[in-house]
Amino acid sequence: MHDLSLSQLSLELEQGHLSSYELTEHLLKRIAAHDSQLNSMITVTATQALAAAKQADSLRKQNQANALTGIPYIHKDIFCTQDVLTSCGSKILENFISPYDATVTQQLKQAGMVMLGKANMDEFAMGSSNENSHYGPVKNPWQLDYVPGGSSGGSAAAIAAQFAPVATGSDTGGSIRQPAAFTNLTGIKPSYGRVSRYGMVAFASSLDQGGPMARSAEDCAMMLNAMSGHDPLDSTSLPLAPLTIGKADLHQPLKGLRVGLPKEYFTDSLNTEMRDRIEAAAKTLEALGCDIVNISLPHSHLAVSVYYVVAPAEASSNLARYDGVRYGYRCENPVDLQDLYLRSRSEGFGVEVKRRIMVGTFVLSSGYYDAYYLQAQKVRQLIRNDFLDAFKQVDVILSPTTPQPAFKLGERMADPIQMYLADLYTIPANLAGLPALSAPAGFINGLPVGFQLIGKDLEEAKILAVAHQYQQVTNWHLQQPAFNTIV
Amino acid sequence: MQCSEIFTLAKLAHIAVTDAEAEYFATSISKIVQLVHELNAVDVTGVAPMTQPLADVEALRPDKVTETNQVETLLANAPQTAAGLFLVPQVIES
Amino acid sequence: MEWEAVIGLEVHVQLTTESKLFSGASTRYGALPNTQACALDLAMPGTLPVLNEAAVAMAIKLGLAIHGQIARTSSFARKNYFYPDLPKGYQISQYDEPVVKEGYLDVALADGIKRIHITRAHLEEDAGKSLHEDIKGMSGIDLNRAGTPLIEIVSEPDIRSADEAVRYLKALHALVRYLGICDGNMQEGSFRCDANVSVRPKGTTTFGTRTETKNVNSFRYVEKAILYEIERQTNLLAEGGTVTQETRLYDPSTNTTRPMRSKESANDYRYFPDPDLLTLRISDAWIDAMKAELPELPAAKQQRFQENYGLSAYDATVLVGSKELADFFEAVVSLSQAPAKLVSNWVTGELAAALNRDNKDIAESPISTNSMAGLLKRIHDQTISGKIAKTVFEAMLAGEGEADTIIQAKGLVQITDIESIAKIVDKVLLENQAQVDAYRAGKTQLFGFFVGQVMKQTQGKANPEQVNALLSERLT
Repeated sequence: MHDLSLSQLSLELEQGHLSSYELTEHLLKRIAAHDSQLNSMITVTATQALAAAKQADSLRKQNQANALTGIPYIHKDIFCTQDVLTSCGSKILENFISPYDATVTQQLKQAGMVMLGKANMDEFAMGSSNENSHYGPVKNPWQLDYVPGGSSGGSAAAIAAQFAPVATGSDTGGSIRQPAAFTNLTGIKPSYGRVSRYGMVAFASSLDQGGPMARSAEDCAMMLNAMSGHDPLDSTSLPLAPLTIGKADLHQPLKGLRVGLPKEYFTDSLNTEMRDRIEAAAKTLEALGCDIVNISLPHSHLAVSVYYVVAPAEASSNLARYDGVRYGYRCENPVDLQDLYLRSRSEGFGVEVKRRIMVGTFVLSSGYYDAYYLQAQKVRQLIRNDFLDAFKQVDVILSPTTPQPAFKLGERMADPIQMYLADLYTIPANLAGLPALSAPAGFINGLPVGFQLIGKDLEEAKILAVAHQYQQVTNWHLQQPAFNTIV
Repeated sequence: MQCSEIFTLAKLAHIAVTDAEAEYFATSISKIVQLVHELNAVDVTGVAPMTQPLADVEALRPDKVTETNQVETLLANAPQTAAGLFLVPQVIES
Repeated sequence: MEWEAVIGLEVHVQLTTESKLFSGASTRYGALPNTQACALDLAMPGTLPVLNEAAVAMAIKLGLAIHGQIARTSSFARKNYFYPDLPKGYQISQYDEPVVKEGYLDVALADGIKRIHITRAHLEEDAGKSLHEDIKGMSGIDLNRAGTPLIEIVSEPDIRSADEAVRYLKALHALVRYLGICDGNMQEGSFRCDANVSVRPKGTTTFGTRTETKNVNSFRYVEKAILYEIERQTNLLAEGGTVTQETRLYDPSTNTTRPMRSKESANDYRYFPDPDLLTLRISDAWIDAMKAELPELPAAKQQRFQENYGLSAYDATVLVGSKELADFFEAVVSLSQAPAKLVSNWVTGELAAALNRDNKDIAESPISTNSMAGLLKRIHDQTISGKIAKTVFEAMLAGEGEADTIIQAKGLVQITDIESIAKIVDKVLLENQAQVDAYRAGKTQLFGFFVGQVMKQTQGKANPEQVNALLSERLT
């Protein structure tokens, strides 16, 4: 039953062929048996999960169930969960038990979903390989010596390994889409403000956005519906009702839909096999009735630079609260207050986090603010303007999700810049606040790759519809890693 | 970027770095600064800085007390407390 | 050389909102440690700020009252620094887009009105408190105050003396209390002042190096701290030394200021726009609504008191110095129907002195407006004389009841019966023949002696005017 999709499981539960308890128990066993090979989970909440499953079953008996009631999911450890460890992949929060639930946690609870546990991730979501976790790297189920991508690498590996049908992720520069591409999943980063950030540990506030990862676009849509909606606890939450993307939306006609291919995303630096996969995807969309249009996003090449100014700047301030005073890691025997601060933070943060804090401190410091931070904010506007201009010509934008498929564990750890470039194509949507998804586009040397669809502001339904209809005529997303047949 | 600059940044960011770490960070952060330096060449005349993707949302909260006394729960995570206070080594001067 | 002080004040006004600037925790003063700090106030991971509408409304009112520009769009910025009472590692404040810009306050000085310009007023959050007592070698952090809304009001360096500074502060203090946006309690830190002081040779226009003296929490201390700084800096410069730009602390026990060690002046706060908060937009409609809610402000009230009650500028100024005092005065006038001048004299005289003696505020007056009116009625209808009224007032303070009760019980009703008074006058003259002779021989200053004797015989109850008239008549 672990191989069933969310929509299939929903039907099974509804028809009474399966109870949430059975399903939950089965998946927990699967995690217990096999996660030691992947390291995708930081915390497994078996007892709470079984209790929640039982409750979901009783709700169903009382006819109070919805499509998600009783569906197990895995929660990225960036979302606060009351009474359960919320580590954010960091030593500095290795003992942090949140006193409250994130809004997303609440929403999923409200929907009757069953949390199986908390997924591994790069520390504070800073990374593209899940090698920056205090809890150790996550392995890619497609090839265990490869990275699953990051920062939502634990969520990705767990769903690819069929530990659950869906997981939550968060995406600041590609952290949902890049791991989805590396593990043959579909994942969507919604429009900025669509999903509440309340209780989602902040990395870069103006870029962070939570979203779902699943094995199909349809499953992502079901999950996104539950995660979306206005939250008065988040000032940057859009004042809009929750999404209700249904079958009709997913089947909206694609005839005449204009799909843009930005020329800047198809330069020589792009792996030729990758180019082939994306062009194949474009052909498929053409066959579905879409018109393929060449477009230009002239400032695209600056996105990584803008990102590595803006994100570290916000992070340097967002992470100042981890000081060993009120919660989290405190160093042993501090001699004075300064020692307490300095050592708690040095011992509690990993290398990549410290590097970004220092970069962020640098670009905000006096004498550099205008040249770096302010300049980056202006170029950020140019990047958004590029999209606004392009969207006058097209309805969605198609690109590769990543320049290459997954890389080997350890391969890029020595060179942060090489690591950063893994997010080359995903970063612009975060800077512009636009919805973007990644969906399976085939394989290169046995490793999955994804295509990215970027939509206009608030047009999650449209890009999900394109991905869904693509998935009706292709079977890339149905391919399973050998890991799943061996285990 | 020099090690001395790394020490200055680390001090501002309240992170202790050893000499070896300072050298490591100096090398990698220099590369990042070199990368982002390309932004300086961009003509941004007349472009307003973009702080947020959202322009026209206004979020205000009515002036209501919605939180109750949660001192026990909230102090449960603290490394050291006494009499409802978070404890830190003596603050010299306020 | 003659020196001139240049002073600018930064005043932190704690707002009277129910809840904090960005969280739903209570702002009530004096609760047990950390019982009014919620997850957001403690900077728990994942928490986000949402701006309190009432704090903005109060900022608009203040902006209107100081004739400032209300920014139609303003924004919040993060001021980054580490301190245990600052849980997020940054303070949310306003930097380049404050909510109010370019206002002023007219302040009454001995030689007329002076306009003190106000550069800006902005919203920001207060910090928590570090407590150093009780725990050996440790400090305790209480975050109840963390996140309490403040408006920081920054004046231009228009002030030239400690006296002007105090008058400006008192006027501002009265204003925020009139507006109902601050309780003004300086002991509890609701109204705090940082003083920027520099000196320069009189007649020059460039500014000297300034020092900032932090958190001075009474008018008297502000005056003393500024006087000390002016003297210290003048002496330094006169001896050929230089003033160091630094942050200093006032020590009331020695009446001196000293440099603060912990807050290095070289701090780089790395202000940047807070990405958790969007642009604050204030509509014309909102401003109009706040305008409509504005109470009568001190300047207008003072003018009305002079015009409607015929009070002197001085009396009116004293009365409008606090809204409660002005309200008390008006209530007593209306309840007693006594002349305003008489009421004013009593309220700013006897009552104010009594309150002052007990270190009480008019709001804590042991004598209600009704009781005060009861007393003034009896003075006005001449039941008692002004002198006797003081005795009655003391008895009222001592809790002996209402004026009428006391007058009755002690038999203090004024003797206005002309024949009774004449009898006593005649008796006094008869008993003091020698003085009468002396008086008639030209020693007219003895007139007071006779009045005193009559008053002594009547236990002060004789109507003084009648006594005077009768004595004059009999002695000529």
